[in-house]
Order: sequence, then structure tokens, then C-alpha cells
Amino acid sequence: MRRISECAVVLVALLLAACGAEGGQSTSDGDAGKASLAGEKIDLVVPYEPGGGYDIYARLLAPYLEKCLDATVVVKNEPGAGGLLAASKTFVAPPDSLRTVLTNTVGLVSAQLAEAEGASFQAEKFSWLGRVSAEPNVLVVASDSKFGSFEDLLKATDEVRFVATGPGSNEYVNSTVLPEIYGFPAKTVTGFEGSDAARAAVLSGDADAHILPLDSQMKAIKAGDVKPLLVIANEPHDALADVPTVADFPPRQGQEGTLDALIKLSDTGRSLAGPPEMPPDQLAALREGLGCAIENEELLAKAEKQERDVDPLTGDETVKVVDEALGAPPEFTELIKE
Amino acid sequence: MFQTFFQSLLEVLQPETMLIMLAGIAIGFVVGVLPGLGGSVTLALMLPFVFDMEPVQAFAFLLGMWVVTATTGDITSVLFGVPGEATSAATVFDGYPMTKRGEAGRALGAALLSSTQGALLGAFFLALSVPILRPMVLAFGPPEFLMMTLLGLTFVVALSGRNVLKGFLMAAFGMLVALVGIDPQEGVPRFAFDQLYLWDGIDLVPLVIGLFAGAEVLQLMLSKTSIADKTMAKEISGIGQGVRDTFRHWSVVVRSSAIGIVIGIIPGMGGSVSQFIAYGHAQQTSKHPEQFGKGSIEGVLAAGANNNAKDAGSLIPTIAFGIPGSVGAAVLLGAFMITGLNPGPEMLTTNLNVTFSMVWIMVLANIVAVAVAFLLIRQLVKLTYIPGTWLVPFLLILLGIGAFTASNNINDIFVMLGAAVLGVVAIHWDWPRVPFLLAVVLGGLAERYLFLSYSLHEWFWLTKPSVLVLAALIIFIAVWPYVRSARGRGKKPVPAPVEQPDDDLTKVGK
Repeated sequence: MRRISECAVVLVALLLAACGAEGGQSTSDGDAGKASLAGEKIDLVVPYEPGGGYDIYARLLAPYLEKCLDATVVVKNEPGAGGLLAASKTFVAPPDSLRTVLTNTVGLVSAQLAEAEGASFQAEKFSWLGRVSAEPNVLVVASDSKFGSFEDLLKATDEVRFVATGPGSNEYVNSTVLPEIYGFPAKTVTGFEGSDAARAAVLSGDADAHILPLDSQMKAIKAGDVKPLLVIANEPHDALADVPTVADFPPRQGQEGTLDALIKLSDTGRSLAGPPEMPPDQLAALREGLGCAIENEELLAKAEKQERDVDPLTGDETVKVVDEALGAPPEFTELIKE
Repeated sequence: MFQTFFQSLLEVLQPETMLIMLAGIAIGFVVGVLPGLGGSVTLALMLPFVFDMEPVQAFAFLLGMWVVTATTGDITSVLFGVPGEATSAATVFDGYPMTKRGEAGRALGAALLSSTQGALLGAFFLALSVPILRPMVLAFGPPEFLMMTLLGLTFVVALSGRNVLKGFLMAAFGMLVALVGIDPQEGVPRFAFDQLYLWDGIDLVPLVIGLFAGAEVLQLMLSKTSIADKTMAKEISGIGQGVRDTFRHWSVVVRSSAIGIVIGIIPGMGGSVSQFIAYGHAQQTSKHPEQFGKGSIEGVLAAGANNNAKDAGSLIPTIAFGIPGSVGAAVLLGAFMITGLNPGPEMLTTNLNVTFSMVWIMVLANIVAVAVAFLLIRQLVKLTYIPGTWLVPFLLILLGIGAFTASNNINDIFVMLGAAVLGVVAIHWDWPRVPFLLAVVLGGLAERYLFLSYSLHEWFWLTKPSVLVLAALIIFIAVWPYVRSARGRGKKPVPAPVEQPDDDLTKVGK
């Protein structure tokens, strides 16, 4: 009797362990035979830890992608090397492995342009499935900052102190390039463990300014903790209609190309990529599936509720946007190399 | 404000909300027990379910689940030496040795109840701090963070036990391990050997699992006995003793909770750090520091209480500024957006009821979870009498899953195995493992905050009053043991308690 109960305990424990391993998966029950990927398992890799924007987009997308493809989509977090690890692993994955990664395309392209260590991929060679979103970057300062407008920054005589996580990040690229374009003294303080910790330094007055994509800034702007001074795009954004854009401020002579490259870089946004040389039928099916999922009304409603912009591009359009960003002029690449 | 406080309790007690919370608790309970599938990943998986919920319901579900994972994570730590969560690692140090000498019931009772007490204290502090939430968060910056990491490092001396030199050598080795990865300032990879895996440094989860659990499983394989020594088994009534222990050593519980709250507030420092600092401080202040690592009840209490209090701490910057204090809090931030809440001043005015409801949810969820856990302890403890040959395969699976699922990287398994070998070597030749871990965790942070302090303030940060106060505290803590032993020399020595463990039990092949 004792023996049996011991066995039972071990069995239950093993079952529980198995559940733990499989916990991330769910099965699909859609129509059969819609696409060539029906019944397949597709990995949707998030290159960061749970809780960030990429994680939210991926988990938002997964159920609708499942429905559109009639496949199982498994969201996996593979944090490491500022997102480069998951991208590099995807770059060398077998072409037909059905591994996709929601890339921080800005980070990939700028790492490649800067010839950074660890950029062991060519962004143009990924099988681009499409873009999910691309928000313009926004420059903010604390709401009680001495800088009331972007003109104040332009007139600054002391160094304007920007904050960023580390070299190569979107924040870093923007806050090193923007002062060069407009010619005001600035310094970027790096080393924060995350964008949120960096924001804390701006709020407490230890630093002056922070550049992040719009959706990462919105909640702090709404709460009144920070005020937006500049949208780094040519057109004003609906959510910040009163905030000036870079179109309102002409760059220094000879810096037009740099400004253009900076905007094109942010156009690459959050995009879905597969390994290079993906079989054409798989690529077509995945592109169609992504296109179908991203137009789903329910998905769009959920995204809006979370204040996450959806700004899709097709696979072909994404390839074009990535190519354009990679064609940045040498003066731009020189700036981000250091 | 008081009216809102009690109104929010009624909101949580609505039948529908309670039902949702119980569902969250049930999920959190299982996830907490299982190593690997961590609390934050589970939260992320469950996030889509809250789209149609009211704010209070959404937090009842998610927060209820999250705080419970921290509580029940201690169960596997105590019974098998495998931390159920990365933040439950310190519970292993003393909880598992207690299990080995047949005191699993007492250790579990103490760990679970101190977890609840930590949660209550954390929740209490969260409620109290509402009026000063925002200025309090901004009062801490990189210079203060740096001083706190240094404060943590001074515990290396206490954690080294009898041989301080060995402790320092292990800590120095830990510092070297902390150097691996991209340096936080310039973004240059160090000791990465062209491996992207090493860019983020050696991950703490596989390291802890290997160093402690892996080493124990290796020993269990060699010993061919069960985890708990049957001849030494005491009655399960030890649970009651464990419960009494939490009150007998109430000051350890309170101080460890306070440490958890403060460190929880700091974004980026998070749960895995605070448990080591709380543990180190408990050993430093204990009358029987020599028992730490060999089954000290105070060690179990410090780890347990700290673990849950830090969750409340990490909610504070999340609520006040939308700056999450931990990965779990970062996922909860998603729930703010989904339910249409804006972290910031609104949470302290129009949505104050939601903020207070979080306090109640933390309290209620912990009480429910611990009550259920107490009912199950008897059955759970029986697991430790299963012969090693039966248990080892199952434990190996747990180890593998635990190490792998932290970041879904196969290399983590190799790190875990390497750490297991290191752990066995350290046990066999009596080298302390905890100073090594402490240095791995704090070394990287100390470097980060030193550079940030300098970039933000140059050398002026050294003159900040808060920095000077913390510096004085560090000196006091470093010198205090010597003062105490000098003063105590005249008096008669404190007798060691009867439950002094048998040291040889921890030796390989016994």
C-alpha cells in the first residue's frame, strides 16, 4: 500500500512537470486545410523578457495568427544581447524551421550599420514576413524641466543630458544623432538596466531628456510626468497633434541626409522575420497569415485598448523599408559607430 | 482615505471577484511549486484573459496569482533543494538541510508562514506609503543604489562562516564571473569569447539551480538513500514548531521584510538580489551564525519573509510612475494598460480604490494559499522519504526544466551542470557557496551604479547626505561583529541549541 502511494505521488509529480514544460502551448481548432501550414507548430520568438512592448505585441498576435494559419503558434521569450541573440539564432536557423522572431528592426539595422560586435547577420537576408508597428520616436523632458520647448534645447549652452540603456539601443542612436543634426551640446548617459530606470533619472532631475518610441512614452505623457517636445517624424502624430515635428526645424547645413536616415530607421519598427532562404510556399503562407491576423477587428480593438499602435506593412514593403534604412549615408553610420 | 481603504476591501470581497482571485491563486500555487515556469511568464500567458475584466478583478486574478507563486515557490526549495522560483533560491540554503535531518514540516511551516507575514508587512507598507509614494521613489537614484549594493557585499564576511579567507576568495571568484558579458557603460563584450549567449553574463537561475540543487541531486545519486534520513525523522507536528518559530524570531521576519520592500522599490535590482541581502543580514545579526547553511531556522525565515515583501516593494514604483520594480511587475503594468488605468497621480486620487484593492489582494491571496499549503504539507513531506533511486530521475527533469525555461536557451543547461560540479567540489572541501553567489549578483550591479553615479553627478554623488548615511551604516555593519565578540568575550558563551545539525550529512557519499 505504502509503495503504491509513493508510486502515485511520483507519477503525479511527473505529470505536473510535463504540464510545466507544455504550459506555453495551446492547440488550435480552426478549419482544416486552409493553408499549407495547417497543423504545424510555429515559433514566435520575443527577443526580450516578458512584460515589454515586444512581448505584448507577440502575445496579441499569436492567437489570430493561429486562427489564420490553422497552426499552433508558440510565443517564446529568448532575451539576450539586446535582442541580437534571438535575431542571430534565427539568422542561422534551418530555412524551413518555421521559426519567426518579432525583431527590434531599428536595433538590428543600426547594429549592422555600426558594424557592432555581435551583428553576425545581414538584415536584408532575413525572410521578412511583414511589419507590425512603427511608432515615431518622441523626445520628452520631465514636466518640471527648465526646457519648455525644443527651441530651448536648441539654445542650450550647457550639455543637454540624454539617458539611454546602452550603445546600439534605439534611445542611444537617437540621442547621439539628433544633437549632431541640430548642433546643440549634448551627452548621452548610458548604463541603465532598462528604459524605465532611465526614465526615473529624468523624472528625478538627474538627467534632462529621453527619446523613446511614442507608445513607450504615452503613459508617462498622459500621467503628466513628462512633456513631449519633439516628434521625430515628418508628419505630426494624431496622439500628439500639438507637438512639433522635425519638419518644423530645419537641420544644420549638410545634415539633411542624416535626419532622413534617422527617420527611415524608425520606419522599420517592429517586424516579423524568419530565417534567410525560407521555402517560397512557407514564406507566402506566413506572409498571408500575418496579413490576415493583423487586420482582425478583435486584434485591432485589443491593441487600441492597450494603446499599442498597429501600423502594418506587407512582406515586400518591409523588405523595401529595411533596404532603405540600410542605405544610410556614411556620415550617419560614422555617428552611430562611436 | 480610510473610507476608500475599506471600500476597496468590499470590492475585493465581491463574489465574482473572489472567484476570479481563487482561480488566480490556484494557478499561482501550481506554477510556484513547479520549477521553471516562472511567475512572470505565467502572468504574461494569462494577460489576455483580463481584457473583459474590471480593474479590481484583473488585479485580483493576476496579482493574486503572482504573490502566490512567491509563497509556494518555497515548497520545492525546502523539500528537494530545487528553487521553485529564482526568488526562492535562498530558502534552499537552510530549508533543504532541515529537510535532510527530517525537519521538513518545521521548515515548511516556517517558510510559508513567514512568507505570509512578509506579504502582510509589505502590503501594510504599501498602504501606508500611499501619501508619499511618488517623492519616495524619486529620492533613490544610482548613488543610493550603489551604496545598497556595497552594503550587501559587506555581508560576505558573515556569509563566509568560519573561514573568512575562503569566503573572500569565493567572492572574488564571483566578481570575476560577474564581469562576463557586455559592460553596461560602453557596450563592449567582456570574456564573451564570441558567444552571444555570454553577452548578458551568466544567468543567475541556472547558476543557483546547479550550485545548490544540482549538487544535492548529484549527492543523492551517490548516496542511494532518501532525501530525509528516516532514522532522524521527527513528527510532522514540526509544522506547529515552524509556525511558532516565526513569532519567536519575529525581528528577523520584520527586518528581512523591510529589506525586501526597499530593494523591491529599486527598478532592476529585483527579487533575486534582495533574498541574498536579507539572508546575509540575518546571518550577520544571528546569535548562531555558524548554523547558517546547515539548517538554521532564522535563515529560512529571512528568505521566506523577504521573498514576499519585495513584491509589494516592486509594486510601489509601478503604481507611482509606471516604472516596474521587477519583471513580474513589468507584466502587471500591461494589465494597467488593458484595464485603462494610467500609473501615476491618478492611482493615488481617482483610482485610489484600485491601489488599495491591491493591498487587500496581496493579503487575502497569501492567507488562502498558505492555508491550503498547510493542509497539503503532510502529503508533501512524504515525498522526501522516497528512495533516491526513484526520486532522482524526476528531480533531474525538474533541474533541466528549471534551468532551461528561464530564457529558453540550451546553454543554460550546461551552465547548470557546470555549477553543479562546482557545488559538489565546494561542499566536499568546505568552501562557502553563498559569498560566491552574492558577488555574482551584486558585482555587476555595483559596477553599473558606480558608472551611472559618476556619469550623472561626477564625484559630487559622494557628498549626498543619503550616501553618507548609507556609508556610515556600511561601516557599522562591517565593524559590529568584532565589537560584539570583543564585548562578549568577558561573558559566558551562548550555548548552542540542541538541534545542532550533523555536519557530516552534507558531505559527499555519506
